[in-house]
Amino acid sequence: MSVRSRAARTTAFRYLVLGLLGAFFALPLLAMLEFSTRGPGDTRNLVAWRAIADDPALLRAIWASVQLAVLTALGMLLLLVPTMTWVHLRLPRARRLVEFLCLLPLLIPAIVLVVGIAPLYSWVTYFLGNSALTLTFVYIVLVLPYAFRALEAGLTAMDLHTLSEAARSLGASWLTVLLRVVLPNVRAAVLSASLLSMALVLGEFTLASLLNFETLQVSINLIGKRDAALSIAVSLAALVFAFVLLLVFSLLAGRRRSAKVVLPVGPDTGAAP
Amino acid sequence: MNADRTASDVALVDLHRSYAGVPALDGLTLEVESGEFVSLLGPSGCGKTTALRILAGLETADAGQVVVSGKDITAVPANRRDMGMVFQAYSLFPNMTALDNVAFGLRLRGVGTADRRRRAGDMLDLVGLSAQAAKYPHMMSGGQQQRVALARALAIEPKVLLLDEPLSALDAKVRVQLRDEIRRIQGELHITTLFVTHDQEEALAISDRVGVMSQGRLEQLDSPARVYQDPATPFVAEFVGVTNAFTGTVQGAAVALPGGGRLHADVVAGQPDGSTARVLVRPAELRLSADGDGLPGTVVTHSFLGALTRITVRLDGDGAAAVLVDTATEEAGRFPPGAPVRLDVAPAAAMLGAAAS
Repeated sequence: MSVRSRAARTTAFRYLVLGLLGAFFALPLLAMLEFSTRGPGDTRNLVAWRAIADDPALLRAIWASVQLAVLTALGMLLLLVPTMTWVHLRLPRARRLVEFLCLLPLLIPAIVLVVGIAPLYSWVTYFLGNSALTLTFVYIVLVLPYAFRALEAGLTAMDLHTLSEAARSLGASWLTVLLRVVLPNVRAAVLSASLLSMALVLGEFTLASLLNFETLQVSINLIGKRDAALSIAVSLAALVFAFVLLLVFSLLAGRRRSAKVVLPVGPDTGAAP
Repeated sequence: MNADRTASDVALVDLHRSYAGVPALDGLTLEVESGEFVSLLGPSGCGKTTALRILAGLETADAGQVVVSGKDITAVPANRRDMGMVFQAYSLFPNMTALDNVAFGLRLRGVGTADRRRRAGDMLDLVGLSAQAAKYPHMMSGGQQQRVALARALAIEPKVLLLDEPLSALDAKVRVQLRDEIRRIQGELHITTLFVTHDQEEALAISDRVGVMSQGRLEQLDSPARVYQDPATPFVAEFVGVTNAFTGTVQGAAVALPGGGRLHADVVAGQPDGSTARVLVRPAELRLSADGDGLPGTVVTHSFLGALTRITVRLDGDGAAAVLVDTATEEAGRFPPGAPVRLDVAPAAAMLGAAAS
């Protein structure tokens, strides 16, 4: 077989795999779109989609979920980034313990988590009111395993010790080290952790339902009992929103800062790689 | 030592530091004068990097004092010590251009944008990298990155410049080039510098004084020439430069070797006859001859070093003793491998020391 024909076969195989994967992901979405736009007889309309904006309870639930997603991501970053940086730099022996604690929520079924956390939440609602946003606390715990893995990969990929020591010797406080040296260099990991956290929160149902808070998923479940087309339309919208979020975060993570200053050309006595 | 009594620019006073019970520094005391370039030289694990890191504030000493410009800074955190440091590993911030890296310390000191850029540009110019100002670290070679790191350390006009084996990751040619460049810049700026290395050639080539360390202690702090020619301890003699060691029994002003020969060695004169002595002699202080009453041996190999040839001689009657002799290359042809030779210590040779037991 010639090299050219082998290359052509490889390309064809590649497109075939891509096509199959694309179909696997796209078909359920198309089916949802088809179902949510069905009208009487063989007609199509956007009644279900328009109804999203006409349902105040649903809009409240969507807004609560979006706020929860953002708050959870921020809370997770505030908790994990300084802790993990400190553990990497100063307490390497505690690394396994922190990892174990962060991965623990993966091992505990949601129902067990709720049983354990429900008495605590009676205190949380007593002090902070019964806003759905109080779910932030339990959601931060829930996203720890995924966020930890993403951040751990970012922190181990850089020479954190040397960079932080270089910054310290140049006069940086620990806060400056965190904000100007660590964060910019684990930006991709921070974005990944944030995206995973937000996606998890936007799709979470069990905890919110069992703790009696009305979030997007709880609303979709309730709507599904009376208006299947609307619940599918909302689900599809939520999925598209998550995809857009993923795309935006990927673009942000991949973006390279362009050089800001170009000085006059001078002698270069070193060889570039 | 009282901080006020310290006349030198930098003083490490009786520093102790242990890791898990193993001492890394065992009472290290070192003084560096203003504008001086001092190298700390020693084998891995001798405590030289620990000493530098304690001076930088990146490690804390278990006991002892760090004094800079007469002030005790032992308890001052690293970010308030005003020390520029270049690390062994590449330490440029990957998210910043070369110029931003150099300007980082100035920015932290509140220097205005225009002034900051000008000064950072000047520093890059000083290390010959103004053309690379807009490049990110991953776009530069290792040598360029270390030069930017040097510019970054110098930009903050530090009280002391600390160099922690900054050349060890570079290839031989760039290493020599950058080594000379560091010395030139240090001389131009007249900045007190402490340089840590395990490479004796590097230390001897660029330092005003060299401190040889072993097991957490300073064995000798002296000019490169004196460290080489007049080592204070057998460790210094063996660690710095190439040394031949002859161990035998003292007989007057000579040492009787186990193989039967006698090595004339003035340094053992005065030691009791019959005691064991270890005499250290540089390869350049030994002479070969075809006959005579020197130690008998056989030439094993030749190593061409340019103007000199290093000849390895195995002494007769003592299978373990291989002696290195540096001879002018044009002379070396007289002693081909396999030839029987006689080995003598050159007249008035600088014996490096003798440890009696």
